Amino acid sequence: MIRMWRVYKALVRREIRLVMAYRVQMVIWLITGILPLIMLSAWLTLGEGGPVGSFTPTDFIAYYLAAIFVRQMTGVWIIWDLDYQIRQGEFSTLLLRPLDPMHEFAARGLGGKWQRFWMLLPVLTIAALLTGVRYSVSPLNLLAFILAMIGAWMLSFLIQYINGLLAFWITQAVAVFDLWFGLWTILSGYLIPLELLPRAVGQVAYWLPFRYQLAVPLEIALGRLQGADLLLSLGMQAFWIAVMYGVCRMLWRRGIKKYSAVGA
Amino acid sequence: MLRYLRLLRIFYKASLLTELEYRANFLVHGFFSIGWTFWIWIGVAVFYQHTENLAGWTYYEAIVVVGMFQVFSGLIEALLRPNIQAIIEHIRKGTLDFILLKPVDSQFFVSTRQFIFWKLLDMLVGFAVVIYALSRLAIVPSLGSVALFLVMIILGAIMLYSVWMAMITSAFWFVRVDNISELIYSFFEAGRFPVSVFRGVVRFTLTFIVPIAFMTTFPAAVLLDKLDWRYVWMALPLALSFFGLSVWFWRFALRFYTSASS
Repeated sequence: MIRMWRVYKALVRREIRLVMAYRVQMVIWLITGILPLIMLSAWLTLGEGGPVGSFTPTDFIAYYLAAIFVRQMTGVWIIWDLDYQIRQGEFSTLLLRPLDPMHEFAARGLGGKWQRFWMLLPVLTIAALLTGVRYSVSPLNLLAFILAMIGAWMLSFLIQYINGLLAFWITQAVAVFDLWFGLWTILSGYLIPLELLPRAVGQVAYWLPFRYQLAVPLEIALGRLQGADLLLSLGMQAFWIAVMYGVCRMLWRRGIKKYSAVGA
Repeated sequence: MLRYLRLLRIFYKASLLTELEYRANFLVHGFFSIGWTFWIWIGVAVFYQHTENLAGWTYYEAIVVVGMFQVFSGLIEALLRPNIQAIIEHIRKGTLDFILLKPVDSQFFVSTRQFIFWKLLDMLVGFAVVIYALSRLAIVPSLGSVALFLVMIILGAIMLYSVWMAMITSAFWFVRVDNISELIYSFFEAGRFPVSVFRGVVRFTLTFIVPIAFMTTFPAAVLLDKLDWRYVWMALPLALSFFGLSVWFWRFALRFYTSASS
């Protein structure tokens, strides 16, 4: 346990330095995350005629600002690297280390969060103050939010790692991810609040993992998810994390055999 | 001019022959094309559950824009992305040397070399959506407006190419700009909505600076006979200036190209 802590600390620190070296790139990456703002403008235009569902214009602003924050802080971007390393055989180097590569990728992802956090926080705080939006920040709610954020990141990480491991078998693992991402954009609440989707789609979304990757922490921040619903959602999130973890270990065991059999 | 057309024929014949080796791609991609279009359609349709008229556009009018969005996605994927992405590689690795030595215009060569034919399916699906939406609106565009529609598409494509090219050209100074294309995409995403959905600075930017409006909204508006004619008159001079700027910037940047020494 203590060893793991040290390993993570070292890896995270390394990643923070690496990211620092390419600051301009990070800024460009952050700007590319503006899709929620485009959706926001459309809703605001629509909202001029009165509230849409239970959303007033201020609610929409609160929703999409939070969406940017949750997306940037729980997002995972490892599939391209993982896929490349497995297909090109560079993965062997990672296998030689006395550490499961999963932790290597996880620590890298976490390291990238540090700079994102400090770049986003001032921008979003100013935007929130200027537009007068409010978030639910009672201690209990904050605790639930942090839990849900950690859960959302873990779930997103496991899903993308599983997807990356597919590269042991297929050459188009990234294409599979594109498909997943497409579904995610709508079913996670990233582009459109789930509540405003057609009822049937919203209900399907409740049972799929996407909602637990983004909408749950987001709705907690907005104070739209409370009491029993909140607990149930956190439970569902934990359930999906457990399932994905199981799948991940299974694929890993099989994949690694396949990989050595190829003898890269 | 004729010589350049002949070159294009040779380039694309080669591209086509390569792709014919992977014929299953056509099928898979066709399937995906339809799926994506459907998904983007839903993203717009959701708004019309709550209103009949979004910023002056009815449901099927907005779907024409969705079709145009898909047409331009196809164009980007087939022609712009593969070539423009390659430019960054050329600059970073120094292989641009070989292109500069060829007796053709270097910008022409780098930006037209490849063509991914099966991405054209996106365009076909896009046009199919446009036709379907028009039929639901019971609109039969006149021959004149179809011609104008095509002209607007071409001008829009020129604008898109020029803006993108100008951004990529900055790679001569900042070697690590692989993600600058992503920046264009994220602006392009706005093209799934009629531009009048946006207000103020955003609309101005999407019309005149990163002119997405000229790609999806205005061609659609031509077919629907609801285009402000001022934009039609503006399209040609705007496209020419964007294009001129990109050519000038490319030549200017070439002077700073230092190659990569080994």
